[in-house]
Amino acid sequence: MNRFLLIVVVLSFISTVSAASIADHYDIETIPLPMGLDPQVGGLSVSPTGTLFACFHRGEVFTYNAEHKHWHQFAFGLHEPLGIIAVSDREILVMQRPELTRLIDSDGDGAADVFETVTDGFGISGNYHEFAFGPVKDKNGDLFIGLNVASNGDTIHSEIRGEFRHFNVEQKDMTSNWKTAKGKVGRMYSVVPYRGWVMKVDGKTGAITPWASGLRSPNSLGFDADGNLFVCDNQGDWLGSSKLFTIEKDKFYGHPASLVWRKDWKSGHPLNVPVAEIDKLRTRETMFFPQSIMANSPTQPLLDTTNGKFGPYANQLFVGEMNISRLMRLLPENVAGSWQGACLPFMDKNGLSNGNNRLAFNPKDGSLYIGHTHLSWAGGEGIQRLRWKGTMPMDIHGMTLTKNGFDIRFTKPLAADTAATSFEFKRYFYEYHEAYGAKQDDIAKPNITAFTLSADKATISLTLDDLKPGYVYELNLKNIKAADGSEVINTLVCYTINRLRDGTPAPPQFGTGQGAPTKKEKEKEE
Amino acid sequence: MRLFNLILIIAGTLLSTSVTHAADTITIKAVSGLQYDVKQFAVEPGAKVSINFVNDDATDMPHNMVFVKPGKRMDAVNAAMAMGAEAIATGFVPKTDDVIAAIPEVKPHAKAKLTFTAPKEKGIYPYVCTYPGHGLIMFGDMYVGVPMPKLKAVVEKPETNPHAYPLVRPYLYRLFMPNSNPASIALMLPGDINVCWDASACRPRYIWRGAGVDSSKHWKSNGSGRVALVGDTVWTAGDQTPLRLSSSTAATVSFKGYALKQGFPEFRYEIDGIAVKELIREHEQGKGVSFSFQIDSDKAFFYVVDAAQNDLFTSNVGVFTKGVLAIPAGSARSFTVTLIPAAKDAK
Repeated sequence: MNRFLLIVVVLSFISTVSAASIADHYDIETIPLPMGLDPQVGGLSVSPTGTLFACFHRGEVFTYNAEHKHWHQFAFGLHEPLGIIAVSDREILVMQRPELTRLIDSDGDGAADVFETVTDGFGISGNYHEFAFGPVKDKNGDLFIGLNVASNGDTIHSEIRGEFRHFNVEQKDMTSNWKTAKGKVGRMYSVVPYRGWVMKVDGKTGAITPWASGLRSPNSLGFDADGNLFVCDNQGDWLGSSKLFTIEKDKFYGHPASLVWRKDWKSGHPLNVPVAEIDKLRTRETMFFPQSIMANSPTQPLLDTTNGKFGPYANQLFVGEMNISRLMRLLPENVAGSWQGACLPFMDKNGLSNGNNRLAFNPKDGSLYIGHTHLSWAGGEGIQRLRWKGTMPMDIHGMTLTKNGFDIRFTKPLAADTAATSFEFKRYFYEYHEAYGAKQDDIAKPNITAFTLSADKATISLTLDDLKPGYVYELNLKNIKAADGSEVINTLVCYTINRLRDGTPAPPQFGTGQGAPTKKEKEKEE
Repeated sequence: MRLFNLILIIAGTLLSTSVTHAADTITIKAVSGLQYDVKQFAVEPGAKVSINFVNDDATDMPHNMVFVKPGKRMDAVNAAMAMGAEAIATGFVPKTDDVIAAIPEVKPHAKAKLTFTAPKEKGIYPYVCTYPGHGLIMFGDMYVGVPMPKLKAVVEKPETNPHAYPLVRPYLYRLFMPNSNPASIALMLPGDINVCWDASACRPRYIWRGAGVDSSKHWKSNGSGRVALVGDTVWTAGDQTPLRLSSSTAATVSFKGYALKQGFPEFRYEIDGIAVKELIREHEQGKGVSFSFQIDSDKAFFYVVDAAQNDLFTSNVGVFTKGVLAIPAGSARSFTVTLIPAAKDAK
C-alpha cells in the first residue's frame, strides 16, 4: 500500500512537470472593482485611446484607466445593459433591454449627459428572458443586435411594447389565465416583434431591419476578419447542443418561435407545423459546441485584432463559456458554399473564472479583458485580464476539411515520431427536434487509414475511413509533442461537417424528440 | 408526514434526536438561482431516506443531486467536471467512492425519486448539484445523527445603497415598472416625489411619494423578480399622451431619448413628427412636479388630462378647462405645466 502511494506520488509529480500548461504562456490577473458594485459584467469595450468601458447588471457604465487603476462612473440607470461599443472616450453605444442607446459626454466631464435612442423598434413584453445583445459594427458602420425569445418560466406583463402575436394563445390569457397559457405558448416564445431575430440597424439613421430569424438566445455577436457575422446560441429546445451560426440576411436558423414575424409566414403556430417542414426552412449551424465536452453556454465571439500581440492567433476568433472556466477558439470555414468548422478550448482554469460572458482586446497592448456574469445561472463575477507572455505554445492553429479527412496545422513542427495512434476520432450527430437538448446519436469511432506530414512538419493530413456530413467529429489528441519537446496545450477539437468537399450535403436529421434525453426520462418519471 | 417534514427542515435541532429509523420522505426542489429549496435536513444513522426531487427551476436548467461523504462536496464537483463526455452517461454523477447516493441529471420541470439508507457513521453529509458550474453554490447538508443548527434567517430588505456610489436625487432608472409599459423610467426627484414616465407612450403614468423603487428582487437574479414602489401613489394618469395637436385626437409619438440637465431628465420625443423636449423637476420642494416643454413649432397645441383632475393642473400659458389646456399658436416654444397631486390618489 505504501509502495503504491509512493508510485502515485511520483507519477503525479512527473505529470505535473511535463504537462503543458496555458499558464506557461499567458498571465491572468483579476482587476479590482469599485466597492459596492454588483460585479456582473454585461459588456466590455476598449476605446481607441485604450480606455476600458464596462457596463454592469444594475445599469451602471464605468470607465477604467488601466495605467492609474482608476474607475470612474460614466453612466447610470440603464436597464440590464448587455453590450457596448466605445466609439470614443466621449461616445458609446449600449444595448439595454428597451433600446439601443448612444451615450454622449457632451461637456467632457467624464459622465454621459445625453442618452439618445438609436432604435427602440422592437417589442418588449416584460418577460425576463427577453435579453438584448450586441451591438456589433460592420465595416460600413451599420450595427447588428440580437433579441432573445421569452421563456415560459414566466409570463408577460399586462402592458407590452409592440404588437402581440401568437397563434395558439390570446394576450389576455397570458396574464389572466397563465397556468393554461403556459402549456400552450411554447417553452420559449416570441409574442412581440422581433424576438428570436438578429436585427440590422443603419449606422447613420438608426433605421432597423429584421435580418435573420430562428435564434433562441443569441448571446452574443461578432465578426470575423472577412466581415462574416457569427452568433452563438444556447442548448435548449430545438438546440440539441449549443451552436455557432453564421448569420446571413433572411435566413432562419432553427428555433421556430420567431417565424411568426416573417412577412411570408402563413402557417399559424410554428409548433403545429411538422418538424420536417421547419427543417426545410432552416440553415444549419456552422458548428456545434458538444454539450459537457466543449461548452454548455458559449458567449461572445471576438476577433483577435492584436496582430500577434496576443499570441499566434491573429485574425482568429475567440469565444467565452459561461458554465465552466474556459475560453475557446473558433475555426469556421466555408466548404462548398456551406459554413462549418471546428471549435477547441483555448484556456481552462489556471485562475480563469467561470461565467466568461464578454471579451474585449486592448488594442494598445494586445491584452484581453474578460467580463464575468451569471444572472443567477452558472457563471462568475468581475473582470479579468489575460496577457501573452511572448512564448510560443504548442497548439492546434487550424483545422480544415479535406477530400477524405482533415488537415490539422500546429503552431510548431510536430515531433518526428508522431503517430496516427495519437489522433483518436469519435463522430456523432445531434437530432434536430423540439425537445430540450439531444443526446449524441449514432456514435462511431472512425479509423485513420493514412497520414502525412507537411514539408515544414507543422501540418498533418489525416485520412479517415468514415467521413459523413451532418456529424460532429470530435478529435482527442494523445501524447502530441512538438519537435522541440513541448506538449500540446489543448487536446480536444470538434469539427462539425455540414458538407463534404465534393458538395455532398448532410442528410435530414430531424425527429420528434426520440434523440432527446428529456422525453424518455419524463415518461419514465411521470 | 408533511407536517413532520416541515418541522424536520425548520427546527431540526429539536427533532434530530427523535427521528426514527422509519422511512423519511423529503421533497426537495431545485429552484431558480441555482438553489435547492431545502438547505438542510436531519436523519438518524441507518435510516431509510426517500427523496422526491422536483426540478422546479423556472429558468430551465437541468440539475442533479449527489450525496457525498463529509467534506467531499468540492471533490465531487471537480470529479464531475473532469469526466467530459462520460458525464452525459452518468447524468453528471462522478464515479468516485465519495458518492453515497445520487439522482442523475433531471431535465427542467421533470422529477425523480431516490431511496437510500443513511450512513451508519454520524456526520454532516453534503448534497450537491454536480452539473457543470452549479456545485459552487447549489448544495445542502444532510445531518446524520448529529445536531442540526438552525439556519440563519435570510432577511430580505431593500438595500440602503445598491450601488458603488450613494444615490443623490435627482436620479433615474430604466426598469420594468409596475402598472406601466415595460419601457418605463423611474424618476426620483428631490422632495421624495417620484414619477413613472412611460418611454413607449412618451408620457407620465403616475406619481408616488416616498423612497422610490425597490429593485432588489428584479436585480437578484435574471430580471424575473418584479420592481416594487416604495411609497404611496398620489396621482395616476389617464389613458393617452397629453400633448397633442388636436384636442380630440391623441398624437403619434416616437421616443428619442433624454438629456440630463443638472441630473434632471429632459425627455426628447416627437409628436406627429414634431420635436419635443420635456424637462421634469420637482415643484416647491416636492409639493408637486413641473413639466417644462420646448417644442420646435409655432403651431397651436393642446395638453389634455382627465377632466376629473382638471384642478390639479396649472400652466403659465393658459388655464385648464375640463381637463384641456389650449396652448396658443406661437406659445409652445417654451411653456410649463405644473401638477400638484391631491393628498391621496383619487383612483
